[in-house]
Amino acid sequence: MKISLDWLKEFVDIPWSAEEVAERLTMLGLETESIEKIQCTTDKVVVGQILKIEKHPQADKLTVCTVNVKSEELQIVCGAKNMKEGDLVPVAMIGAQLPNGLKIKKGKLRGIESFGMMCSTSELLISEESDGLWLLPDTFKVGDCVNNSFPIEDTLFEIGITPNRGDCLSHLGIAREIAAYLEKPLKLPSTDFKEEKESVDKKIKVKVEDTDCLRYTARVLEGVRLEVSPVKIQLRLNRCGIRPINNVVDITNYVLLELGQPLHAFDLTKIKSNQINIRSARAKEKLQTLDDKELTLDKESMVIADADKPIALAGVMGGKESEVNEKTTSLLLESAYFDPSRVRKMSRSKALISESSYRFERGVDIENVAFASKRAAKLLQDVAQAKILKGVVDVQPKKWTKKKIKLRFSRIPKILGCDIPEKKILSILNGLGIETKTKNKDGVEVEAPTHRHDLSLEIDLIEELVRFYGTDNVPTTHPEAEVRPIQAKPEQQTVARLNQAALGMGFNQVLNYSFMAKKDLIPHFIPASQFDQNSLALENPITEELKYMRPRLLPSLLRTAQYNLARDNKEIAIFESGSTYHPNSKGNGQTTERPSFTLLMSSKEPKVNWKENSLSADFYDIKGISLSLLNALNIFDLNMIPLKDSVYHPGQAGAWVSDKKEIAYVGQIHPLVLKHFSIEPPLFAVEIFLDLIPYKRERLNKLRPIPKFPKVSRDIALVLPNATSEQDVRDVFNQLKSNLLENVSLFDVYQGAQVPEGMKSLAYSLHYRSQDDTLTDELVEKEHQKICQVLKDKLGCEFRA
Amino acid sequence: MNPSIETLREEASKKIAAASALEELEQLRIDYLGKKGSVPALMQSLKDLPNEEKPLFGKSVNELKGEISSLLSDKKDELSASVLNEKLQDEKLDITLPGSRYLLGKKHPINKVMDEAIEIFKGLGFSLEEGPEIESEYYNFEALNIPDNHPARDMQDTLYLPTGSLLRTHTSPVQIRVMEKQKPPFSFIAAGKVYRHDADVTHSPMFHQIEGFLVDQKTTFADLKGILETFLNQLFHKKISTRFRPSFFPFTEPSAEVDISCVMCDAKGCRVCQNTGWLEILGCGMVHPEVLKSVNLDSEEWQGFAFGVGIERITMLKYGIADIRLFFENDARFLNQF
Repeated sequence: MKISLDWLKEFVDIPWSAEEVAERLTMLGLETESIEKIQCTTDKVVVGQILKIEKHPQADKLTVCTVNVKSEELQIVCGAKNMKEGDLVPVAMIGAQLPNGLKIKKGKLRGIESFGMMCSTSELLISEESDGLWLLPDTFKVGDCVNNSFPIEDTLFEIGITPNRGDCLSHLGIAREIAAYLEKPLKLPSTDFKEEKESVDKKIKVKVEDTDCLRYTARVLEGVRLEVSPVKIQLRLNRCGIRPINNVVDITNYVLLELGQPLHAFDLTKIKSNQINIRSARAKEKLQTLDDKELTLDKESMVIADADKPIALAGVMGGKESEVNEKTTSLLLESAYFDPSRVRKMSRSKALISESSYRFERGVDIENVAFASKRAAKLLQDVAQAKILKGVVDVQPKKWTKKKIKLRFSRIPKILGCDIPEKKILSILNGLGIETKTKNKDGVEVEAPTHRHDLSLEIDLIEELVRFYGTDNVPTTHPEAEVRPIQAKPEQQTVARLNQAALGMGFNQVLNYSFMAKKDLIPHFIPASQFDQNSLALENPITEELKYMRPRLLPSLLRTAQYNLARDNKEIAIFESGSTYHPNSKGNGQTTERPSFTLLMSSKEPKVNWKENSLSADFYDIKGISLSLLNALNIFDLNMIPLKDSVYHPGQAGAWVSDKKEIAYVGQIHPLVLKHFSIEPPLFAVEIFLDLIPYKRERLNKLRPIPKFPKVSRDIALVLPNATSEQDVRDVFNQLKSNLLENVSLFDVYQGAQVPEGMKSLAYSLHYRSQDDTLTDELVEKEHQKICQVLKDKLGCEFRA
Repeated sequence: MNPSIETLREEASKKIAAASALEELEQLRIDYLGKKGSVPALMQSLKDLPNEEKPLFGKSVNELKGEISSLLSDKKDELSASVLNEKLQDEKLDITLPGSRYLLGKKHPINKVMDEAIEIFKGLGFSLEEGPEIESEYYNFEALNIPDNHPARDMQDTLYLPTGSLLRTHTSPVQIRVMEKQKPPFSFIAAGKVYRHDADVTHSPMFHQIEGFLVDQKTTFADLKGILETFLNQLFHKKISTRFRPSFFPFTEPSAEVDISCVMCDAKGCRVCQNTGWLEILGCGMVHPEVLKSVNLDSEEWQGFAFGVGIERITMLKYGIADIRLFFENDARFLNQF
């Protein structure tokens, strides 16, 4: 909130500069976010009287005025229209610098010389807007400095008040903190006024039925003259961010900013039977609020009602019908205490937030309720000539009990790590109005003041102590070390290993939002017909584009690819680790999060440059990459089966199966999916579903001895129908029971002139070795022939020379 | 000394020395040492000599043969070396052309800073814990002493899912989840994604946090200051001044926001620190007794601190990044700078 230094100084003598005030408040936990200094050469802004207004010979929109400022008569060219001869106006003379930064110099406007400027309220930063000159009331004297009547200069602080400190939402509250820090007395404003003989009881009856109203005071004022507020009140309201309306409304707002107590003034004549009931609303009761909304009320709503109907939503907003207007002469002035959480509930459910509700829901000072009412009455008498009926109706159904708190001195070093001298403890508590009830050598028992709703536990008091003792005075130490084993969790290791492997292969890590647009999910990732049951939508998304929790990482990565391609970043080699989010299939509102890893690659392999720019990646490259990634997780027992997923190319995609689970998808992205993302094919992806992967430590196999004897290799080329997969061949090799065949490696795949149509040739090297002996040709030949025969029998293949 | 031997020796050594190519050298070998060469011819002449001269002459010719072969062999080495040199010269590359492939990928800056922070805390004895991103009101708010209908709820604008679940607004729910499952003392950090209904140049609806938590029987506010100063010094690789500004979080008390001396201007005052010399960097405090109570721990026995660090904020300061949205656009020209 905005706090005026000039206003603060009415409550406490402050010996500090504006910067020191800001620094001090900040270190007390009242974060001063900005300092705005309003400066003006006040001796050069004086009251002038317009003697003569003449048309400007060259310009229709300008006039030439003669203005008497007592010491001289000035000729001033003016663009305003709202003045007449005889009016008093503020005049900025040559050499003046105005709060908005304007410097006044002798000037010539369309050929006529001008010696100064007549000012509007906005030019003096009294209001944000203005139309025309500020016409001063006749209490101002010609030639006087305008500043003599009210201070133009001030410093405004923007202070961020945390939600626990409702007591600081006023100048009084901030001043109380400063006074406590300075150990100086707090000066309260005057509440002196004259009362009429007639008693308030005769004019108004108050009945509190709803127990969430803990105190209600009503005062009656008559003969009120509704008009514009004095300049000082307007100025302060404006500078603190509240628009002045009329003297009555302005004074309730002024007291709100001054003392933190929300007040409301009703037009007394609109209160049926002069009866005020504070009660829960009846079902379907209606209330037209001040801001012209029609509310339909319910039992949750606490209302101020007259004999008939609600006239205000308690603590939130007044009703239109009982609003003060230009015909109003008698007022009912309400000052009350409503339960914080009840007000908050009403304010939220009706989507109405006001200066009042903001303070009530943070808790106002129940003891301050009557004082604020008196203060407002005094100001209304001073400013609006109000006649104040004798006494006040003050209903407090339940006595407020102040919270008692025990503070053990030994707890202070136990929590803070340092001692605070007992004398200092007592002076801090005292300064804050925390009254010590009993005291012994071990501690004190205190009573929390009524304005401090945040004080109820011992720790709350310790916080107050450290706030005023200063965190800088707490030493900096290290916890006493206890040796505890720290073991990274398996899941964390899995992700770290995958990330490291992908980085090692040249892929960049990306981070996308966890939410995305519906249009990127339909139809390829979730079919339109099943969208509602299979998607997880935010109730209050930032935008439609960020509404759906992503069910897969792939669509985000495709968006990232498209974003980069559109910016001429041609090489796509990226990966992301993160969660995917899924509604529970049972439709019970439960959700699941699945850890996932996805990698995306364009046909240009990562980090390939001038030397190899003709190389292009294909399915086998992404397959190799996926294998390396899974190997990095110590997963070696892997099989690839064809993948049926509409996101992928039907003929160039596979799923890695391990332990009977499809743990990863690999392949080329379907051209139709790419088309949706405006990407030219091809693009290849690996998706690894980490929740399906058991964490595996490194395999601890015993070392096999390095062979002592040489190997013998024989090459064969098998001619097979195209439909036979390489896996079929490998299965045969794997099932062979040969002591001599050490391993088999595929070294060529050929289709073309040398083999018949519809056939392909797979060429393998078979490596033979014995652990005990150097093999003889004879022995190898015998074994090789045996193996060839098995291949022929099982696969029906021919051999190529 | 036989004059013909001497002549031949001189001639051979001259010619071999003068040879400039391997072919030429081979021809000289044939000329001198080949079957029909000069040296075998001299040996042939041995039979015509008187017997008493034969041994000496024979020895001299053999010596000559030895000398010539050794000259030839040395010269051959010399010429081979220069041939190889020429070949290598021909193979000369422009070594300033860029290297190709086998370049590492780039870690995302957020992960980079997060991993760095995790490493620092590991070194300080904190383990790493995790929790779900989709949370309940209970873990995200109530158990953390943020009751419903309390203005403290306004501090964090929440993104809601149907049936009352929400995206966690901070990593603090992990405190509760860990305390429910394990026994004190606790010293862990929790890192991960968090979400708020907020989007502008410095606020992202998704961002990353690291939560630190230490509860035992004696850890104090002074210890909190010590741990955080150590962390910040290591993270920014320099001595950082801090100030602990009293503040409010429902789940800690006393609470503080930590400001560090501006790393952009060394606290001289700049646009980033709005001329204050200070940058707000994290929130912290002593774990609130109500939080301990929610997991049935007695605050008379157990105490300690908690803190939360925004990773985006720190990364922006470390690398001078002004717009938070850059992190999630993943432009290669951005990522490749890390």
